[in-house]
Amino acid sequence: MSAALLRKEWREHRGALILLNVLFGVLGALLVLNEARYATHGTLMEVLKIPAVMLSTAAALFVAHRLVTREYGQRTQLFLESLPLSRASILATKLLLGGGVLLLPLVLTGLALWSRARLHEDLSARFLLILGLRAATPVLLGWMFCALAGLIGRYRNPLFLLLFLALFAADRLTDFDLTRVGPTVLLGSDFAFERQHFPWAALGLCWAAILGMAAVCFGLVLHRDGTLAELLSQRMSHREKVFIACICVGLVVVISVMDAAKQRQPFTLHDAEQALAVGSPVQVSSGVGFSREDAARLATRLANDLGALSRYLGLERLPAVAVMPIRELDADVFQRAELENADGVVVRANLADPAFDVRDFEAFLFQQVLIWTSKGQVLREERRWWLDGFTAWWARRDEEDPRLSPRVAVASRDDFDPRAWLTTRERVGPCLAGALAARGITVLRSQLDEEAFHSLARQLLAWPPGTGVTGRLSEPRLEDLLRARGLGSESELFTRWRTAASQDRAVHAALLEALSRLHPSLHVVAESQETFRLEHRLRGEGNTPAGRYALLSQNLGPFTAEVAPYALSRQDAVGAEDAVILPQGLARGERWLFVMQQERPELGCPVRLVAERREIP
Amino acid sequence: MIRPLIAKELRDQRPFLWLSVFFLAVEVITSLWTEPLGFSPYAQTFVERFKVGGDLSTMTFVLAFALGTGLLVREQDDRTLEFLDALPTSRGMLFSVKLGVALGLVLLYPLGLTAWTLVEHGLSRTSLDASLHVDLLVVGSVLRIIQALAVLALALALAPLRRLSWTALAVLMLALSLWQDRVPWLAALNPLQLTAPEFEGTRWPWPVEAMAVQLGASGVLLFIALAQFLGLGQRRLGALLRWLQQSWMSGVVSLGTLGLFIAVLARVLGPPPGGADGGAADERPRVRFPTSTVAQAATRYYRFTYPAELRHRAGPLVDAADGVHEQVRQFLGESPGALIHADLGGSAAHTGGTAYWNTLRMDLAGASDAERASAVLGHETTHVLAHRLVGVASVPKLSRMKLLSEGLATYVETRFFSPERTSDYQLIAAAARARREVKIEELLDPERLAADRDADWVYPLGRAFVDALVRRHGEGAPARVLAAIGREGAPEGLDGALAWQDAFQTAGIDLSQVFDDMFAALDAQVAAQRTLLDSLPRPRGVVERQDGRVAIRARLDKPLPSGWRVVCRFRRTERAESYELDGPYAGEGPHWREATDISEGRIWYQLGIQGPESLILYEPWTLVRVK
Repeated sequence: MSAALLRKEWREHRGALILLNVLFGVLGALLVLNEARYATHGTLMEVLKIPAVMLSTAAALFVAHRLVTREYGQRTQLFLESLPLSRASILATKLLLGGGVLLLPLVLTGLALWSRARLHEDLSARFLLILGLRAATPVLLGWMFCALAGLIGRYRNPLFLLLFLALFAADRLTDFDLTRVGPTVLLGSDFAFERQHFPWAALGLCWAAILGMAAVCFGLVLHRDGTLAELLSQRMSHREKVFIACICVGLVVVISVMDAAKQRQPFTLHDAEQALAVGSPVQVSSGVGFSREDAARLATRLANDLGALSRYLGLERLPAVAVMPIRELDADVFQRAELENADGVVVRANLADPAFDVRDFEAFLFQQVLIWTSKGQVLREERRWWLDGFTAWWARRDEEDPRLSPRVAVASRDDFDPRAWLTTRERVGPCLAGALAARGITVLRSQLDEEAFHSLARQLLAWPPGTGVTGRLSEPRLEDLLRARGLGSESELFTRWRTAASQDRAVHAALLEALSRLHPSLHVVAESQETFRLEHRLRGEGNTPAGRYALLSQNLGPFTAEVAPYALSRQDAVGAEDAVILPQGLARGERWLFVMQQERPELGCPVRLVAERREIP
Repeated sequence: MIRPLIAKELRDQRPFLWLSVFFLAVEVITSLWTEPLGFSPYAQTFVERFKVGGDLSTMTFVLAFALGTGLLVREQDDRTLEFLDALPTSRGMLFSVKLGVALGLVLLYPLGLTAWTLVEHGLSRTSLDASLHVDLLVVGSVLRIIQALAVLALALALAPLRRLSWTALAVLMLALSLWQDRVPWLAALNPLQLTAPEFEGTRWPWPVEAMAVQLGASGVLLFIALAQFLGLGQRRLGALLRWLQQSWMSGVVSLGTLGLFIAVLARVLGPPPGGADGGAADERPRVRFPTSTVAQAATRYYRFTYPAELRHRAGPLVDAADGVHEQVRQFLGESPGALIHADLGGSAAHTGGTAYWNTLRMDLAGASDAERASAVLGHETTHVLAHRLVGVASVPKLSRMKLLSEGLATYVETRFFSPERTSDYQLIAAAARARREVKIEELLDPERLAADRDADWVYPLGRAFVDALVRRHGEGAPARVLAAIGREGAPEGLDGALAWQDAFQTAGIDLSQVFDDMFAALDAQVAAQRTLLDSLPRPRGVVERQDGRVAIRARLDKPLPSGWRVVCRFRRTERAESYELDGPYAGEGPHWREATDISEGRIWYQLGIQGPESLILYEPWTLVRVK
């Protein structure tokens, strides 16, 4: 480095560099003058992080552009090289000047903050040294990186992009955590609070990176008499830009696909009772009112039933199943967890509640397992009744359920369309919908021998799932399968199904009569131009007592399809002449799902008296 | 003549054509390759793709600006304009053709993806959402066209700046974000905001004002670009551009941009509008006393600093401090460590104390008595020692597990230092349970809890959770969990329920069982306080208007018990931080909002009832749209 070079650089860039320091001086003054803000930071010295981050990023980029990119981009370094100066000294001058220009405002801001903070806090020399190293090192790291990028010339933007992609890939595909490496550790949450220990590991890593990048800078400038740097400085063509853009997008897609395909470990539940179903664990944990012995019994039962289901449908593999008791839910509400970075079926239910029905729970669990094995494709609406009906039937296949017939009678009191099964489910509720679908299964079974039904079930619930158009085309269709077995069309099957349901209604006419005497009502009443209230009421006809009921509600988005039972808010009420007001206010433009339902002990299912989606006008 | 011009333009813009086709193909092929057909309804795709910052807006903006900046100036820089001038056509026609072709190319990706979204939904429709919602797509597409036109127009107008055009864009966007808070209608100038879906039910109303603003601005910008292309004022413009392109000017412009960044920061760091209190501009005379000196005191475990005039209050606290520390330390089983620096001069907004690494801050002046001050010290000391147990690298992870961290601190506070507050926390927790609003998914997701209900629920419910944990697994259980959180080799990148499951499993504790115990205890509290809980009203909000202002008034479904009052607070956005909340304001209202308080025609409000001991039971947040 020579004094003449330094003077030349200073003369060329002094305006911009002085302005940079002036701006950071203004920033520092603002930080100091607004001390009250530091109440959210814990100590005034914490705000030194702000100029440290800005100097290591935006300011370093700016200084690198002035000192390095312009010089080498416009190839004026060739003129300098014609002077009796070595390339190394030219570069060294620039690097040192840039570092000095960036560290100066950091030091000045630090001094200003120290002068105020020492009035409130005890700031030892050791602490200030630690703080200084933690603030300055990232600034120098940022400066060296930007200087290197400047020397790389037209590939500096692709370099930034590729670095970002590499970090993205490391984050998604590995256990690499950026927040525990190098500069992020130095600027971490203990930045202005660690007063004793030097973060040598992080400092060493950063200093090694600084020295490494400096070496690469010198290498670029000195290699082949500087021709490499000159070549890199030429402008990128349009095609190069498009090519690099495509490469980057392609890499993002590949990384995302790899992330999605990443093998996930089966979910394991600690301290749970466990049984095996086709080699996959079925774990049940104990809880309040649900002892370890109960959990062990349930685990064994579930494992046996899942194993039988797997053999019946020919499932090659079952997921790891975890069942957890939770008092948060009602006895008839079951919930499946969404898993990230783990695989399996994790469900919760109020196992200890006296009203908990293990067979209804099994039907739910079987559904979740089949959804897992089919990668969700059994949920297609045209076939959804099969999933509900088969699992409800399978859970009770050993014995005739005396509640099936009255459940079917109540569920079918309005006409139903199996092809619009989600609407039927929402209207009658999942419990009655399962019973109604089970009736459809029994109707079909009555017309097929066991082998034919068995084969039909396998084809509809356990086919190998595919993707895209070919996967869709290869999915089995009930219509085709019925015709192949000489059972006519789907419509004919549905007609037979409705006939069977009408027979159930005839047997339980009294129950339907009692329900018909209940008159639910929902009224949306305007309280202002924008806000409304919901008034709901359940009246019994004549002297019929209406009894207790519940209003379930959910604020829907514009496209919300199926609403899970556990997502519905609930307000309990007693039927009377006076209306009950929903505590939640309604706003214009919202969409709501309102359900009025009543418990029926004789059915073991809640009966939905009203289920409608309303838009608040 | 038009056809050859169009063909020529298409040939010139081939790279953008390939890019658009490539991006679209990647999107479609990825979907077909990795996902089954028929499971991508609008519920999963529409808002995600149409939102501000989603694929459609971002790609439209980037493509349009990149294409627009080179559309005209490249002809001038490459000197092909003279050749085109020799053709039997006018520059106006050239301009129109270029604009038309560029607009078409820019729209290829977004409209193509919109069409694919329609196809996906068509294959995924169910009986609950059978409509194709073509009307929504039409609105979205028309707005997309206007958005692309606006960005193209902006790019064409800024194109003469050459390399500085992107810098100028950054300056404009920053300036817009800077002023948008103070002048909300400026949001209409942001082309990215134009296509953000705003639903009323299943309709997307036409944003007529925003469309008019965007089309008007586009017209002006296109006129500027056309004038430059036609050579109007060429000499003056050339001189101006030469002056702008001098080397020192680029430095000034670049530094100006940097300065704008700093101005934004200054606005963030500076005093809030209206003064330090954050309220409306105050015109009353201000009184300012001289700042006091700072006193210091050191004990075995603490180094205190406090305003000298509070020495009488600080004295009892300093005397009791080591005892507080010992109690907390023994409960957590932590060995004595570095001194804790305690600044008693104040805390963050809406808090009595805050804790950091080996440091805590407290509002000593705000503590009602010495016992209260000791309780707050105990609470914050618990945080500091918990940080040490997990280690500095895992402090952010612990901070996200707020139910545990705040619950533990509140448990220690109420158990050892202020047992009389236990009943207050139990009441809040019981009320939440009685309303069936205690949901585990929300408790494990503090952001969602704050967005939907009340971030402060982590205190009463966290206390109940830790109480259940200690009852079943002993007093060493919290420390075991903390050690598990900070252990070497803990899996990275775990968040939410998985982070909890990992920590508790490692500690040998069944998390679901702890929640079960918590719910059992809450149910018992509900039963014990049924009478009081049933007597508490549920306030609803009603909008009132007067003189162009809008207010929220509370309506109650039953009278307030003695000693209780209604409160109301507001926020600007769904994800506002706790220190950004406005309020709470006492009384049934009306609580008036100025136009500057209403962001994009939305008012977020939350009503609650405040008990005699100042704890507040809030209703869920409500969004109401006002014009």
